[in-house]
Amino acid sequence: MFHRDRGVVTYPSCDPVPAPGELGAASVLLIGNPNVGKSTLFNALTGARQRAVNAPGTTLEIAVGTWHLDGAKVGVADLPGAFSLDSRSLEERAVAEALAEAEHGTVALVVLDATALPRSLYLLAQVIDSGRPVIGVLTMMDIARSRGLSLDVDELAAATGISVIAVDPRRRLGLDALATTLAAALAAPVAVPHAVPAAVAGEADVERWFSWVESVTDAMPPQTPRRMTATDRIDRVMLHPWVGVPVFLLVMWGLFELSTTVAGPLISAIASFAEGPVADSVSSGLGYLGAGGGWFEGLMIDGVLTGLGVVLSFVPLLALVFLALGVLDGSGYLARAAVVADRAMRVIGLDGRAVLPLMIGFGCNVPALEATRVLPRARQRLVAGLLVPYTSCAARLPVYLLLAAAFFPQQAGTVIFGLYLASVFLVAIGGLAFRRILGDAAPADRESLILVLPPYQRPDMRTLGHSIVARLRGFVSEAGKVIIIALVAMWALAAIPVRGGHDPAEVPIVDSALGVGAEAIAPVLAPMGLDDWHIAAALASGLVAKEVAVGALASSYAVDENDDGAGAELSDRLRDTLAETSGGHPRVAALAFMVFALAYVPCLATVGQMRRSLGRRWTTIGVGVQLIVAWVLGTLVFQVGRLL
Amino acid sequence: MTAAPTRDSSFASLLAAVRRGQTVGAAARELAISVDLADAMLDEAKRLGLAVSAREACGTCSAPVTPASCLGCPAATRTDE
Repeated sequence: MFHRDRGVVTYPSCDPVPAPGELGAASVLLIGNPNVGKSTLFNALTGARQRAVNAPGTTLEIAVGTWHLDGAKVGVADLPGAFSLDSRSLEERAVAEALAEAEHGTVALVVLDATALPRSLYLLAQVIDSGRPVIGVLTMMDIARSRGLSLDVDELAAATGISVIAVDPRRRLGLDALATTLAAALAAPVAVPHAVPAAVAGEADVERWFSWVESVTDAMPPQTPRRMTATDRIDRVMLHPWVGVPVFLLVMWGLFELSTTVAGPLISAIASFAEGPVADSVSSGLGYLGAGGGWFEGLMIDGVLTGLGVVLSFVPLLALVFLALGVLDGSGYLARAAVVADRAMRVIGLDGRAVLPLMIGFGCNVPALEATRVLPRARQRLVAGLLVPYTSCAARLPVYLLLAAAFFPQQAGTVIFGLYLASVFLVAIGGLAFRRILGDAAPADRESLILVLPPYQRPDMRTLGHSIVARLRGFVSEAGKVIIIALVAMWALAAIPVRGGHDPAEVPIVDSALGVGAEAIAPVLAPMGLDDWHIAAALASGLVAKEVAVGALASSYAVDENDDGAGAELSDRLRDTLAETSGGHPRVAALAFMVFALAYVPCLATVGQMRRSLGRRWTTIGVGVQLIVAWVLGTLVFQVGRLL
Repeated sequence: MTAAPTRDSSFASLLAAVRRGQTVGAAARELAISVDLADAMLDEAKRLGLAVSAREACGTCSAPVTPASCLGCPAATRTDE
């Protein structure tokens, strides 16, 4: 039980832990940032005469003790370390409420760290604003001197307008001077004009407090100016508009190359391994078990195993992209790239970090969707995730190559380049549309997230390795399930005979559920000049993966794409088909085909990843919008093009 | 009570400089304030949600523990996985 005695707090040393609320009886509140020597000072003042109590309004335990001052017992409370009084943390709320609830005449001893004075002064400014009598207690002077910092206590007192005493609690230096100053403050209580509100400070308060801190530090002797670091020197180049942008583009090109040229052979090797030795082994094993041939082997080899091969073939690509992104992030470059790209991305309502997933999308949409996690806000991740499928991934290139070579043999390169430009245009238009529909994903400039740049450093490769393994495991277990199930479903559609009396899994595509379905949807493609079941089946197969569309065209025309001259034969068949379906405008129809291939659902792997990243609802919306946009654009290209 | 600012706020100027891509050291030099003061200002800006450290932003989550800013991310690898 606490007792008030001549204006100070006294209590018997054998009392149990006092209940909450009793802190208000303390006459001295020790306030300071964490690790400024506050508790050391508290121990030096109170010795063993301490008890634990709950801080006001919290379950936070703080120590209270007794300081024998001129024969009187003074209650001292060692409040939690805090950087501010704006009540954003439990500790800050405890300090703010202790100040607000303190009784008349309570003195605040604010411990100031001489090695980090601005931070301490910022807290002091807020305590001064509380209207309580304040005494500054300067600690860490020895460390400040060893660092070459010079501080004059009298100058600091003059600049702050309060009494400031330098103490060294470990060596008990300055405690007498502090006792004298405190006794005088306790003897002449100051009226409290207002209490500190236990509310969050506004930006105007923060600016006012920092302006006061600045005025105090300006009045102190100037410190040695900080020299330019290696990071500052590198940033002068990397963040310069004329150098930073080309370097940024070069880095992005490197990422693009990584996800196409470098990862390509690895993907092919895994796919070949799955379709070759693994498929042969499974086939032999099934034969040995008496389950060879027929639909079950087809299901296992062409459905499950192909799906597993697709999933695993993405693993090296994802590992490379995660590694590259991790190195860029860990080195500190990713944050710089975001700053460089920020202005352009803001036009479409995103911030600079969104450029990374969008660039990676030109290699492969799957890791690009994974890379949207670099964005800090859910809405930014959503918008970037919805835009990624419009970046023209490498898998769409075989489709472009086949059609451009068949219909524009002299301008194939230009046509393909134009499709990549169209992809950039689609992303920009899509971004503007989402900005209009969903609002700015990135906040307005004044309130925008400010990225505090870290220094350049060597990435922690061990941590990065753990992160890559965890994320690959996540991809295989989550997106992988969706991909395999979808591929098995596509196999089933192509294996189920609908007409012609074929055996299951030995049916030509035209007589399969897939072929019949293609015939049914082919009229939908008529406005694009593509009303043909071969084209419809190819585009439907392209849902599995864009490169599958070429194979599906070849098999639907009963052309083996691997035979010599088969490419030319397929081109001839395509030219004949489009000449017929387009009413004499096969080149325009081919363009519409390519634009449709650019804009519609990239592949089931991407859909699986969208489902993982964006959730079912937004994946359904995204896929629906892609199909509509692709159809509208294809129709526009054909209908306008044939008039020209 | 501390006085109202009598000149342009260094706090706002610092945030503007960092928004342009300045490091803390470079921004402090440009504004002729100490790096300690700039650090204190940016720490407070982070606490107020006005700024975020690139290390604490989502990034590619190479940090051993998923940062708090990643917790709402559907793509974030959960630590309980």
